[in-house]
Amino acid sequence: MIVDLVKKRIINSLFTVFAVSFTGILILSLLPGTPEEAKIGERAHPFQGESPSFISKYWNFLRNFPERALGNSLVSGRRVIDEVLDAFPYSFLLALFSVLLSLAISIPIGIFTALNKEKTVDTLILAISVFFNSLPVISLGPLLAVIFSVRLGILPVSGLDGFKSIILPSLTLSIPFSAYLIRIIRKSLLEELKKGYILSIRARGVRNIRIVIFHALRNSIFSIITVVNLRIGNLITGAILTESMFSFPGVGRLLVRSVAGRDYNLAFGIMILSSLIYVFLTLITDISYAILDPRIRYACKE
Amino acid sequence: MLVKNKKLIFAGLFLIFFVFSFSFILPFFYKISPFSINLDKRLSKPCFKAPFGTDELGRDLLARISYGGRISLSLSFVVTFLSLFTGTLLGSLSGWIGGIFDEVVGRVVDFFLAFPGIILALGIALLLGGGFFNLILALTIANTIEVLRISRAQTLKIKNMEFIKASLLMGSSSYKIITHHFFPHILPITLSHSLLSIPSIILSEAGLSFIGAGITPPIPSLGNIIAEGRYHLFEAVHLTLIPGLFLFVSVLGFNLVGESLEA
Repeated sequence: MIVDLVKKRIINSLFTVFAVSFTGILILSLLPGTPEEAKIGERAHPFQGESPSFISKYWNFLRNFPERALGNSLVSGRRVIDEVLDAFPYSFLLALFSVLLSLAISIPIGIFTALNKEKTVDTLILAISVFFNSLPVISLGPLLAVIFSVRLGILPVSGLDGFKSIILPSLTLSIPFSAYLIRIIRKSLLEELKKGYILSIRARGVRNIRIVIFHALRNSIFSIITVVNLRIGNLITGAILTESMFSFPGVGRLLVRSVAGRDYNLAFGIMILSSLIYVFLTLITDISYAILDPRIRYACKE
Repeated sequence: MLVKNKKLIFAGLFLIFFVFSFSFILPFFYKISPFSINLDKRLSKPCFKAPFGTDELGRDLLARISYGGRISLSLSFVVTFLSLFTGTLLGSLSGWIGGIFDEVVGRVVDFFLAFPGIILALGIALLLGGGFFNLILALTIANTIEVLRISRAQTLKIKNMEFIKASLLMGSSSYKIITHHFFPHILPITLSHSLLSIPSIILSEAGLSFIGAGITPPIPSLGNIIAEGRYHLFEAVHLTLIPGLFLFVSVLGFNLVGESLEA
């Protein structure tokens, strides 16, 4: 039954959230120096005074969630949660813009290749997409920076300069991702076009391009989303590297800076928060599949 | 595994061969040390004496990329092998024993899966500190999880089949069942998964070193060569583009081979 499935997923996720926060606090409490003592200049000896037990620390974490739960950054002295909230809008904008850009590139090309199945254009586009899909973020980023900033001088290499500064980071993320998406879209469209209902639509004399856009694409959306879901980890890695490469002030750069400065509180704080959000998002997508996709819904009822 | 496209696999194998000979054979002929500092020749452009130019400390870039490639490739192979071994073994054990052991392993896997992308390896590397062996440990833990899941799922699939029951009736031990009956079914699948994940391991290593949580300078790796080079984007383009190209070629080679195989 679908309710049982959802219940099981929720219980599993709750357990994971508990395990992640528990281990996170355990690690933070084993590291030297408490957040309260860690302001620069007046940093007390790590083991001075009475340190609270681990249980009371975890209780504090739960009681203070989310404002003061993760303590302060060891470098800036600000609350971890404030630092993350400051950086989050930038990361969100970058993610949104890159995903929209990738979709805008890959959906038309994907449809085009599916319509021209096994012709020379199709093979050519596939070969190019294998090529672009293998482009590592840390190779592509400098290349784009050299072309657009050093040679042409139209876009800034780093820092924040209005809308212009989001273009290079999002291109760096979107180019490999849309190369990947093109192949996924093509494959699932071709799979869908083999089915019987397409044949019946075609028999009614509907034009090919209309069939692909209004019927095949619509039905293959779920399989596309499923495959894209597998790449989310990859995209997050890419975003971390891209942000730090272009000094884009998002959460990724914050994480990299805290790692470089050995600001353990901030680094592990970001890791704990991001994994909690990640678990939450996976749960939501899983449940929404079960509710939205009639195929899964009916499969569960039987 | 079947070869789907012969041209692709030859192109991929050629690129892999190129990358390997560049990293492992070239040092026998090109005897310049990747560590020797020469401040008179900082940031020099590619020329006859230094085919790829030199970096901010005057170290030879060709030697550094070759050394970095050696580190990246050998690390990726060790990680692939270790995670294949532990993942397959733990997964089939967990599926075969079942009960509380399986439950515990499942929870541990869930826990590790909660960290997206590079973050798990980054956290482990940050706890252990950088360096070659700690990086191997961090990446192995991160990569074992997926292998373990596949191996466990396969074990559950064949565990209740007739031939296993027959083997049990004939008095086979658990050891014999796992090694003689499970492994021949599981290994082809986990092996092809591991081979396909080599490029992502190379990328994780480069990414971690780029961030500063992986191989630490002065030891060169592709990631930290690019990380150091990006501060000289305006004076010395070759410092980022050449190692970037090398990284791209190695990933492309493995991806082409993976693309042309059908598991």
